[in-house]
Amino acid sequence: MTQLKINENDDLAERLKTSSTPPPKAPVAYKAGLRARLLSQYNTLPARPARLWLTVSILVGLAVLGLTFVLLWSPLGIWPASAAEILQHANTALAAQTEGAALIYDRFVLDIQTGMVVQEGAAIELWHSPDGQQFRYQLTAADGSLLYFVQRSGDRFWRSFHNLPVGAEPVRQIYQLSLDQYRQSNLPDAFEGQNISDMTIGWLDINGEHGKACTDLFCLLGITGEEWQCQGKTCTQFRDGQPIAEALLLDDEQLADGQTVHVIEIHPSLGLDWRRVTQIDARTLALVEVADFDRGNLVDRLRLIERQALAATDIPNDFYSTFPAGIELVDMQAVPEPTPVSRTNRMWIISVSPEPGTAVDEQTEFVVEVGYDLVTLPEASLQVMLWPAFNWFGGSTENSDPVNITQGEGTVTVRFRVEPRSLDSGQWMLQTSLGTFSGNQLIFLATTDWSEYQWCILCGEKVTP
Amino acid sequence: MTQTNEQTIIQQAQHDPQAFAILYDRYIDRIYAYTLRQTGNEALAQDATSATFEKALRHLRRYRWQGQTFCAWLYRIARNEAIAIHRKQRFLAPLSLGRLGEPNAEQVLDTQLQSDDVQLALARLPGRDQELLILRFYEDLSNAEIASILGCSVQSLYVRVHRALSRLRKELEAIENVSGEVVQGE
Repeated sequence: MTQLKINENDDLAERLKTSSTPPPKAPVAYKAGLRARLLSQYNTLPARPARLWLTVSILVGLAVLGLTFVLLWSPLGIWPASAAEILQHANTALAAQTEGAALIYDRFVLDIQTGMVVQEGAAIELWHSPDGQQFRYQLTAADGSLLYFVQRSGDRFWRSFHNLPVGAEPVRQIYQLSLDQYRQSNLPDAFEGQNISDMTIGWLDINGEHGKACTDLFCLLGITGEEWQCQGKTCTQFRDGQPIAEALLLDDEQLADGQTVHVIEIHPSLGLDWRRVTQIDARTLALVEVADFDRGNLVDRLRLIERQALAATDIPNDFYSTFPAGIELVDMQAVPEPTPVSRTNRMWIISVSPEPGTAVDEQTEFVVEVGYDLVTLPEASLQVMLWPAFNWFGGSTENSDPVNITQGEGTVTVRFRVEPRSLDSGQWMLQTSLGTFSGNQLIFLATTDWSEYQWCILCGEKVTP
Repeated sequence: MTQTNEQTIIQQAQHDPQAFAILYDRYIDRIYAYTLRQTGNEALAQDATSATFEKALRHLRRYRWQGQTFCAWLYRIARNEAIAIHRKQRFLAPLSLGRLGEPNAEQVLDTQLQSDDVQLALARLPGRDQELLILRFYEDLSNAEIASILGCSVQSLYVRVHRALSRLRKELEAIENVSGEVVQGE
């Protein structure tokens, strides 16, 4: 088991612990006197503030830099500035903080509230080279448990795998792969959120290229800095001539601690009722916060706490070889690689009960036997899903409980009953999937063809299993 | 006391003095011991401890459990108070530095009288390293709490502790080499 260690100094640590005598307790009279004095002061305490906001540390250097930008900015740009202009300047300010650094350290605090995953005060730490090709990213819960880990150093790659949404359970294992193995696995990067409509984008996005950390503010926000067209306070981003995202500059807000922030709302051009609200300090142009809302409900909030420029010597030589305590390192490089030509991830249905085509109801037990061959990953989640045949694109799906499977060939038997409260009567189709989680989203590695497995559910005719 | 229990008590303490008294009883000795290590002086430790709890009481209603334990919050206040007192003492009496500053000749002499080489080596370290190792090895705090007190990440804490121990080892080797020479000379 690999542990984050000060092993070479363990003997010294032991000597330190045993070399000191226990400190004296506070004198009894002193303790009693202080206690009485504090309790007598209790009723003079100020009332709790009606509104409590989170505060963010602002680096001194940013104050100077931000002031410079404000002085240069006003005469040059259109005033008031558009959302795209503010983001561009904030991006420049962010980059300037660590210009010339060999290594950059970012620390964020993340709150998540997405049904299966509720985390408050989780810490994101990202050490990354300026080009984003060497990095360590770890997400740690407030209680210290590791929730997500991904790292790249040279030709080696490390990643925690998730058969539940990231954040739903602590990480116990980190897999070590070669970079080639990782790229051939087609596993999505940390939180595949280049597409702004992906709700997992509220997390720190490190998917610039496959296996590369984000290096700028736009990547962090899941948009690009190019091809914006602005009219007044609204800017539209285009890709291949099509509008894909809009950024709207809202009114400035003043936070409870007196900080004034520009507020920019970003949302997809089409479809989803989802928006990303970004706060940027009006004086220093520092990123303060990014919050995502799904249909008006807050789903996550990311606050930038600090950004540091580091020298290469600021981390130990074995930094990329040491891992959080209690985590098992699984070396996938020791596993023989499959023959590239013959094998890919696949799955197939061996048998289904009841017979497709029949009418079923909530009493019916479905029994689905599934064969699989998992090639590119050490583990994955297998599920059976029901899709509504009458509303393929807009309807909800029903999923069986996920079954964890490990690399290799095998069979799984899944049993389930339908839930009447969440199904409409009508024709439903069955599909099986192999996948793994990127943030909140299940990414499919393999699926079966659904077309031949259909039932009429809750259509009124009972079936004898 | 579990985290959930303490959260409950803290919420109660925000409007019930008896609940605050429970917190006080729980932490007074630890905070006093910590400030005593930091200042090296009982009177100064009492000043720092009093200031810590007075400040904690004043700000208690603003405290929210957000990834920083109450213990770490208290320690952070205590640390700041100890630093403030130390700075005042330096101004008033520049020769009587406590542990937070560079060790002076008097302090080194005091510790040289101790038979424990490790304590002697610790006293020779810069104040920041001493503080770090004291928090890490003498106070009953988790790494997350120490990181919170010092305002750094846990990973940075590991790096800093690693460096401080390396420096401690060098000091210790120097001391033990001198001791060896003295013994041989005898």
